[in-house]
Amino acid sequence: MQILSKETNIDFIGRRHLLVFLSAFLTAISIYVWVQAGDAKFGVDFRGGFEYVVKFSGDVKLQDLRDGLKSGGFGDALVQNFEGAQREFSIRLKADDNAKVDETSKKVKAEFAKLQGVTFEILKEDYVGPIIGDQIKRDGIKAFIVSLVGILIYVTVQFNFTWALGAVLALIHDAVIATGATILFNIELSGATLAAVLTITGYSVNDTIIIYDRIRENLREKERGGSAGKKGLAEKLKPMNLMQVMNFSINQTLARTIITSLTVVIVCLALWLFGNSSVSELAFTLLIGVICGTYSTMFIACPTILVLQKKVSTK
Amino acid sequence: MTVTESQKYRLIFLAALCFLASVIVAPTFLKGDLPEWWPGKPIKLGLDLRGGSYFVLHVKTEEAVKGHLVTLASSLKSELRKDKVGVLRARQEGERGIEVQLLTQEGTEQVDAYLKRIEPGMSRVATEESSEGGKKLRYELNQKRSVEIRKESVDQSIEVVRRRVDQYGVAEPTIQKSGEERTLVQLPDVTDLSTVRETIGKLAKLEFRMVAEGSSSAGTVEKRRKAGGMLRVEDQARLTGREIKSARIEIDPQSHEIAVSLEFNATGSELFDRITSENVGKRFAILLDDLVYSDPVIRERISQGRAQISGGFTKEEAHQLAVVLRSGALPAPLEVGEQRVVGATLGADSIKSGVTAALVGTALVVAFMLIYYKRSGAQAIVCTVVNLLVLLASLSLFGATLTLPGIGGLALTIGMAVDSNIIIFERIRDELRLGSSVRAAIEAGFHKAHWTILDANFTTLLSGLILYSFGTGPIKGFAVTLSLGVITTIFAALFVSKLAYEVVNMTDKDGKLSI
Repeated sequence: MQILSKETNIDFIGRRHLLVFLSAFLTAISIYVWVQAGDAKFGVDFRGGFEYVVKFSGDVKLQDLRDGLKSGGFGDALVQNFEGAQREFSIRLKADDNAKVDETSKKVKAEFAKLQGVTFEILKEDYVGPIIGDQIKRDGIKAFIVSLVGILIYVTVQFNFTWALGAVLALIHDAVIATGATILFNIELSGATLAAVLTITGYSVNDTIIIYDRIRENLREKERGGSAGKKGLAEKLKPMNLMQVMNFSINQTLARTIITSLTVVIVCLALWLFGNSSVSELAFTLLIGVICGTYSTMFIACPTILVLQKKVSTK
Repeated sequence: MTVTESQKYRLIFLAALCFLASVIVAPTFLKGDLPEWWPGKPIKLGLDLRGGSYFVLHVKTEEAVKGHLVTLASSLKSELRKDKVGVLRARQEGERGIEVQLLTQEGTEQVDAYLKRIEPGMSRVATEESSEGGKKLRYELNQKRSVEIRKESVDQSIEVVRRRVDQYGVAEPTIQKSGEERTLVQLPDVTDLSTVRETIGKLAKLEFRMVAEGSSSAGTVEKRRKAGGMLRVEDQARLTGREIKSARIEIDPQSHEIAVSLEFNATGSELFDRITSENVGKRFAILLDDLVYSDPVIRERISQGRAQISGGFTKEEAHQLAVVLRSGALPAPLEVGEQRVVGATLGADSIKSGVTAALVGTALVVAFMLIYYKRSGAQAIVCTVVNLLVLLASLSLFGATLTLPGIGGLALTIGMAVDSNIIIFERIRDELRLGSSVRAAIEAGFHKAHWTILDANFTTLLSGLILYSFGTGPIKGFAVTLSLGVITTIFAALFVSKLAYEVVNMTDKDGKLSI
């Protein structure tokens, strides 16, 4: 079975303006969502403070829980309940500089105990102090930048700098949109999110490299006039300019591009829907990132190259 | 079907590898059913799958330096008095200093000499005239020595924590130094930290201070009594827990009062000897973590270096104190920098859902490969199975910890591993479309795909390695499975897949390649 048995000839690059606009729009939304969500978007890893994930033996009203915590002195607690379940909640508290971990835990648990008619079970509790919280943030940013620089260098070495810029720009786009989607779906930004973003940077550039590889091969064949058995190909390529060669290359590898993304998307879907907590969150961010990664090569990396090449040749 | 030499060797190698991997992986799945001598252990589970607690303690090393100086000042004063040097006071000041106030203009050389002998890292940094007619001398500890003491206190703290944790009988605890001034503690299966951490972090700050006399409040401070009320004591301790060698719980046979009996080390004994001989008839207070437990009168000089604290301990308090004192007092306070506790329920739940998700994902991918690539797809699946087997074996072999994201990483590896096969297959399809023969198409497909596969997987590996170095805990687990997964994938795609194509006949009856 093949989904694309005939050679396709979709003008991807030609339609780029529309799709770059779409990408820009999505990016803008992501940035807006980032800013809008403020502090609450961060999980305890980046925000610092406490997080308790508690499960009650019976239904508890969100407001009752909030009120209880408020009376215990935790008025600014962020309380969320997990989809559907009226029994599982996540409670996040900011920690001031003198936060006593054990004291706070005792107080919070006392509030849970006060709720009528239900017993509680702490599924998970986390505390991140200011020093380590800062470190996690710094390390996260460092990791992301190191990834980008590493990839920039790698792609430059394999191809050239302009192409590398295109690839990195596409990556940043993927990371931004994936993060935006994560916030939109009310998932806390945590270490798992960072892991997903870093995986996206590593994985999505694969895609880009494979297409770049094909473009380069086609450009070579065009130059060479066709190696053994490839005369027909060279004939086709001869009259093409860079943009058309790009288009052709993308179309050639289209089947492969879609299928490889598909397999990863399938796995991510399964992990997101069937997994719980950290694996589910990681999978969601990864899912969006991989989907973006698939089209970002065509609609961001390649157009970027064209624009930059034009700039270079008109200098 | 004839097999070449090279193919034969490769097949044997592959078979051996699979066998070995199976042996290593078996304990993870067949926990109880294997005989004793079976090599390999089950894969280590991370806290998020097993349940347990993890915390990072900051060692407040500045306090260790200060504590050291408090003792130094105290013995300095004692020594000077013994040599009849008129010293008004000697006290720890600031981060690294000692201030000595002499009654007259005399004595500077003695102070210098004593400090040089006992703590060569101290040097005099200021001399001024004191308003009371004497001299004020200020000494400071140099950087090198300060750093030394700080380092020592971290190592000591880890030891103390280790001993305390040992007494709780936790299975496979992890206690290690993390960075310059941090201790990392992992306690699998321990989910109620309320008592454990209190014990671990209990400073057991033991102090002996003279009770203040007279009405002047200069140089004194109020401390709370355990039994209630306040007591005014000197603001610097004469003796601290650093000088304690050992401690024992003693129960008075008549009164059934629980007491803690202490034994000082050499320095401590000497100091205690002097303090008691100089202050017979006066009261001194014994404080534990800033609470006055008792304030007995010094009846006589005590030269054997022993003391007893009794202060209305309950059985639990005594027990906790015993644990704490047996392991030695902490040289510096510990502050919690980070703490994560995962309940056992969540842990079990995570394993179940993680494995389910991974299996579902894998099953879907497998189904897809079979439908889309037919027999070649089947070969890709075999490839993937070998991949997974070797991957799991590696994890077990390297003692890597499997976390929840790690399970995700395994599933992801499968999704990505299949990619490598797809690259090859599509290349082969391309070649077939261009009119090559089956044999030539296979050769060309692998050849061309070679570099692409390495290229594509390399960046994922790079990400994995970066994640590993910057991530913590569960994320590290993810990075490990991802990175190892890339390596096993490359192996599977380039070695196993090729071998399969060479050896297994994948054409259907028309001689066309089933792809």
